[in-house]
Amino acid sequence: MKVYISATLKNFFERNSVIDVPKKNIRDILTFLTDEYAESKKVLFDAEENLRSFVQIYAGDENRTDRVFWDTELAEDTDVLLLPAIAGGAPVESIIPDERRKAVSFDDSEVERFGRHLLLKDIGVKGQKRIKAARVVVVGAGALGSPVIQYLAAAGVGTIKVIDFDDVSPENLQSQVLHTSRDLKRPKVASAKDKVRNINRNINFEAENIKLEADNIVAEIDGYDIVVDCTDNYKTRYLINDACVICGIPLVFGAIYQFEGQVGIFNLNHGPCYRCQFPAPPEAGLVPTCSEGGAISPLPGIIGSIQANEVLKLIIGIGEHLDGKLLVVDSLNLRSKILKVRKNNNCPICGGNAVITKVEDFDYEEFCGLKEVEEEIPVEGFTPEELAKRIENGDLMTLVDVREPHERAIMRFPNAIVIPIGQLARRKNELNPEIDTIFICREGKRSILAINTLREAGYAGPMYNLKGGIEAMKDIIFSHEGAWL
Amino acid sequence: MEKIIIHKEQVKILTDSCEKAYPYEVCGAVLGHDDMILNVRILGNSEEESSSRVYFSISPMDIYKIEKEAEREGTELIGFFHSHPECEAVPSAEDIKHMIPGMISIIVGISKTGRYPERPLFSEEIRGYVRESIQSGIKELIIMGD
Repeated sequence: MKVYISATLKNFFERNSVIDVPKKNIRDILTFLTDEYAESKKVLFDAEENLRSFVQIYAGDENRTDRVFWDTELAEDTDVLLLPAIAGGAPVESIIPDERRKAVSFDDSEVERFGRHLLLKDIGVKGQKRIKAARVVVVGAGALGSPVIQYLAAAGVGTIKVIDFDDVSPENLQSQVLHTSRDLKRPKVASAKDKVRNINRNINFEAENIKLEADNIVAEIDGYDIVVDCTDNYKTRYLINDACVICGIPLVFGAIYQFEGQVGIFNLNHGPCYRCQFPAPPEAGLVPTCSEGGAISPLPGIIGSIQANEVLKLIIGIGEHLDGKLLVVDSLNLRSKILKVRKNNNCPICGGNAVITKVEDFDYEEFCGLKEVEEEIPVEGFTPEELAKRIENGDLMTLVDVREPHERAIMRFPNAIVIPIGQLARRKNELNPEIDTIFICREGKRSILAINTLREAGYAGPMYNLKGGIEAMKDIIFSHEGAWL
Repeated sequence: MEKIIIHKEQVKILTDSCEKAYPYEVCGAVLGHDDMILNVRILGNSEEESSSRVYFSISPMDIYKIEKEAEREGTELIGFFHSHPECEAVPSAEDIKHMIPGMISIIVGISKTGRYPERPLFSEEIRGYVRESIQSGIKELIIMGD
């Protein structure tokens, strides 16, 4: 049988590139070769008799490097090839420079506290010092922020800044495990500060009870090592992404919706950014945010914990992380996948000819469709008070609820007919164009979309929007008629 | 082996390919005689679609094809190159595991210097290494123009 030796390896076979070997399987061929050419044995095999990483064995076109193939008898005319494997790559480096790591020291209580990290070969004292030296910003002390803040604090991150403008409200308690019933109506950052102090008083905790805007974000994040996005709306997500690109800070992104979550790392060493993957937000009102669409309690715990884990890996400089990738977790069916995120060379913020050079110059409200849109034909609407009056007067009108079935299950609108938004155009004949039709959704945004959809479909009857949706309506009627739930 | 001799045309092929691939890694083969690099062959990166930005691998069969082509051109495969985007041009643990004794390993560290088109966008650092025998450590080579 003929064995072809790659030019890269033939020095160890007395510079032969083809050797005739009177053997019929790979194991015997290798034994024959290493007996015949003494030098080749220590090059092909390490001290434990394992084939070295750079050696590959092919039989014909098939890779037969794995030992399971070595005893299979080969056909008489098979060519066996001894080839090199060339692989490698840039080392995964910590984002914390060595000077800062070296400036950190531990006292006895810290050695005891972080013992489980110090035991890990990949973390050890060096890694733990990096964690202590790290300065991390967490935007959002809500569902995702809860696990992120607590795990980063427990892991010993030296400086944690938490930015959130909101107060704790009852519906937060279902998934925001950072806050308890005693924290109701307190700023979320105050509650976060207490929790972190209870975990470790030595952590430098910075609480910012403010709303991030284009004119303050750069000052808030500049000089920090990592930003963790734990927000729940597109405007802040794009704002954070853009500010991170401008300040050169890696971003650990997380998002949840109902049963599904996503985690990714953006803008690491000029890698792809959030805009490369998501160039524009979905049309306003079309995709409910987490607060509108809901999420199962433990989901932010899962996604936030993965975010915290990625933050620590970046700080320590270990493992394979989600740089340029997006992990998508479906907690309902227990499936997950990793999508590749490609750098977009035409990206307006991180591409070669970036057009956005300052966040102040970009209109995030408009980009995310949050401005009152000046329609050619403005949509007319009733305030909840006006509609309530009309209902009380017994005015003739059609009420159309365009919400999805599961939303209606929470709160029904009496006497409304139900047409989900996707079916409106096709079912427009169910409406009477002679009388007023009032469209109802949760917050009064999808109902505007519904009216525009019907206009485009050629419906000519009078249409009105319930301003503020059923959310605004419930305080008016429900307060004196009792709960409709 | 103490040095590598490389012509500036070949240096340009190397740096151009690294810039084109940035922020991803690129890799390839270097052909020539002994310590003289006469040709650079870009091989892309077979890991590109599946793996991360910080890993590359070259298919063994592709290497074998290049060897045969080099033979026809009257040169030899004398080593490999790859880039380290935003990293120093020093071999990583994974690089060292795959260094074949006697083969030159060239690493190009490439970093982005500015985000404005009127300034040079990248700076590169080219370094060469060899493992002289399987027992010896990794030795850095002096890179010389010809």
